Amino acid sequence: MKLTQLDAKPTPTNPADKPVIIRTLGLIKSYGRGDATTYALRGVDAAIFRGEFIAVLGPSGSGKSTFFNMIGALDSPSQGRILIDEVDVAQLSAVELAFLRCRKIGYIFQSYNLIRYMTALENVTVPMAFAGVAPEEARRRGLDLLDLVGLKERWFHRPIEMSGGQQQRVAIARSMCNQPRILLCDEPTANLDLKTGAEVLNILVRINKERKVTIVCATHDHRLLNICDRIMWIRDGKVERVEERANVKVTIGRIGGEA
Amino acid sequence: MKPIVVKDQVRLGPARCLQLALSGMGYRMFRSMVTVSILALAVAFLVHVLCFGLLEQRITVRAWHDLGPLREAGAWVARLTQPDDDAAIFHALVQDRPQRQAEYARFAGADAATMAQGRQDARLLRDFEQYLGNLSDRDRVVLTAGLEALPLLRSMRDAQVYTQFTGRLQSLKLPSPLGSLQKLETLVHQALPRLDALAGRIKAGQARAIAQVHQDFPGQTPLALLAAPPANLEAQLAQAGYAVDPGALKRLAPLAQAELDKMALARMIQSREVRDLLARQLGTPVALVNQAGVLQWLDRASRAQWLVQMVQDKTGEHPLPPDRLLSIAQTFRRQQSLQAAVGDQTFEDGEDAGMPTGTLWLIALSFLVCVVGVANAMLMSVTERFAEIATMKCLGAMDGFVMMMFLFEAMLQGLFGGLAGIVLGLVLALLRAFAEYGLLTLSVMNGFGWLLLAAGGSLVAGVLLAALAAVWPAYVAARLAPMEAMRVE
Ligand SMILES: Nc1ncnc2c1ncn2[C@@H]1O[C@H](COP(=O)(O)OP(=O)(O)OP(=O)(O)O)[C@@H](O)[C@H]1O
Ligand SMILES: [Mg+2]
Repeated sequence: MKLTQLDAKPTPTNPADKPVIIRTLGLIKSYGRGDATTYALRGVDAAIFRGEFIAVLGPSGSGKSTFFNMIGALDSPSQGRILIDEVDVAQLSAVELAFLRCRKIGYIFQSYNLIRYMTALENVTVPMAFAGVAPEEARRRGLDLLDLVGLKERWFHRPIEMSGGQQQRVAIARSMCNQPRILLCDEPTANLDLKTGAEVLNILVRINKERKVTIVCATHDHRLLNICDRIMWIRDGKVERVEERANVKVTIGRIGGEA
Repeated sequence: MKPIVVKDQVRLGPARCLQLALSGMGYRMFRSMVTVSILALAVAFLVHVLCFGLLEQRITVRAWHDLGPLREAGAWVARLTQPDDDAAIFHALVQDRPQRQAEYARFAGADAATMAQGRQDARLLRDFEQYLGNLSDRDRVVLTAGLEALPLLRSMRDAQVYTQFTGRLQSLKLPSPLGSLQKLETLVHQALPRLDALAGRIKAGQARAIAQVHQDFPGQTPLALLAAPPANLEAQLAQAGYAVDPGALKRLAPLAQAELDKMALARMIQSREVRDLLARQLGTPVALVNQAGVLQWLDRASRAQWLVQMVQDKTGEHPLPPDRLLSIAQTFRRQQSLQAAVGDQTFEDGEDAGMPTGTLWLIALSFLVCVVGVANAMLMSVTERFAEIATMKCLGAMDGFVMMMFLFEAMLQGLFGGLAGIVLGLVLALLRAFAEYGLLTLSVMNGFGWLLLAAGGSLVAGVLLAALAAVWPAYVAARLAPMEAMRVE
């Protein structure tokens, strides 16, 4: 994991011929009702392509996390549709939803969401248990994954015994354990220092390049602009614009179109 | 690249769920222990109140039973002294005691039909008394003008008083006694005069019998007669018309003797000088030196010897020997503790006494406390894990798994908490019973079955409650979308 990897070449993309893996149509999410209604998303139409690494950027409170929860089928929209490989999420039964969350989508949360009382290895093997993998097999695969994120030696540590970066890496290992096709990350580097943040990003790039996993990454971290394929700007619950990374001018202090 | 195909998630078997729940509990040992101890306390409270209630009830009945001979001795003294009063006769008539009623029939010289009529009338009277007893205090006072049932009914023979009574009945909007006013009228104008006549005849017969016994054994008080019964006493009593239990006189003799001894003791401590010295010894004011106090104090041989010596020195009389004193003091203390256990309760012979209403309320209340305690402990331990439930659901757990996990956990915690609670509650109940009733407790401890039954019931209640109180919030959390569950505080 070298820092130089941060300058990965963007994959040339052409929206017309790339297959869409996640599509949202008129996505609206509001909280509360009556006068107290606040809109977190006000009609988002977005398409995310198979195998791409897309960064979702926007100021705080613009609705990134809400968008993340919606396309991850973790919360239900107030209006609009979410299609994952052209299948409407709203039409899935509880059992199918569990299947989808367990094996097709990996989640990396802003606050890690590890299970407090489990060791690193157990945290990684939990989703495999849900997928019906035998305990020994799950243990073997879990150790391999921890090796991938460089934590093999610390498999027996509990979350409180690990630094934020280490916890985040455990979360990445956990998100990968059932070979998901999509990896959703909500500010994976927000709580990390520069170096560990870079390590985490490196891992994500590798996962994207080597395993051809589609990655959607909500973030404030501008380093992502160097490694992603596309950037989706969100503001006030709406998609402001979507850009190819190649077209974005990265300058110090002033980035992209954001003032 | 392959498209995403969505299928059904595999369901985990109970064994796998149990395994996961157990490993989870192992990690949260400390938190689990806190929950378990709260459960234990809640169950202990219930078990304690329940078992103490049961113990107390049994002890009371037992004490009542043990005091039977003493009551019998007292009854005999009373029967040989003066005729019964009306209320006692009417009460005895309703009771199912053929011997007693045969005795009444002999005293009254009444035939079977008259006695049967008398019993029926007495039942009517009893029903009226019960009717009054069931009224609220305020209604009763207004209705009866403060009179007892008997004087009230007697006064109602006067037509004016009767109309007043029915008037009050109407203005209070009470149901009429005995079901109909007609029956009340029967009671006042026919049954009660009949009863009074019968009671008069019985009392006259009793007076004759008392005189007869006096004549047969001149100069002897009833107590002295009972304490040292002459050989022909039983025969003479039977001849006078009394119903005598065979062997009763022999059984009652020591009790009567003890009463005589107590009277002797009372005479011993009559003189001023003796009382002064005793007051100093007992550490009480002279005015409070009495027979009961001295009997309580007399619990060792040295004290009895001192007392006898002192009385001899001061009065020159020959008092009771010290060992007699000690033995009556012991009997007295035992009777006191039995009497304290019984309190002012009475039980019909042969009837299995129910628990007093106060105890039942206390049990109901402690059940409520147990329910609230268990539910609260489980609710807390589940709600603080909503985020964990949400995370698990994000990782592909199904509702069934979440609920099964919490069910297993709650049942295990309920089991451990319940067992600990039972032990704690039983020990507490026994300790309290010992503190309050002393060794009397031991006398009802033959056969633990009923105690264990009560404890087992509490255990089952605890486990079920814990399961219910944990599964319900787990179900609520599992039904929510993961992110909604994560947001719940
Ligand atoms: N449970 C909720 N109830 C009411 N409003 C909410 C709720 N959750 C989010 N919001 C609102 O929705 C909007 C979008 O929130 P969201 O968390 O998606 O922002 P974000 O882009 O992730 O911000 P950040 O970069 O700070 O994480 C915010 O204005 C927020 O106030
Ligand atoms: Mg956010």
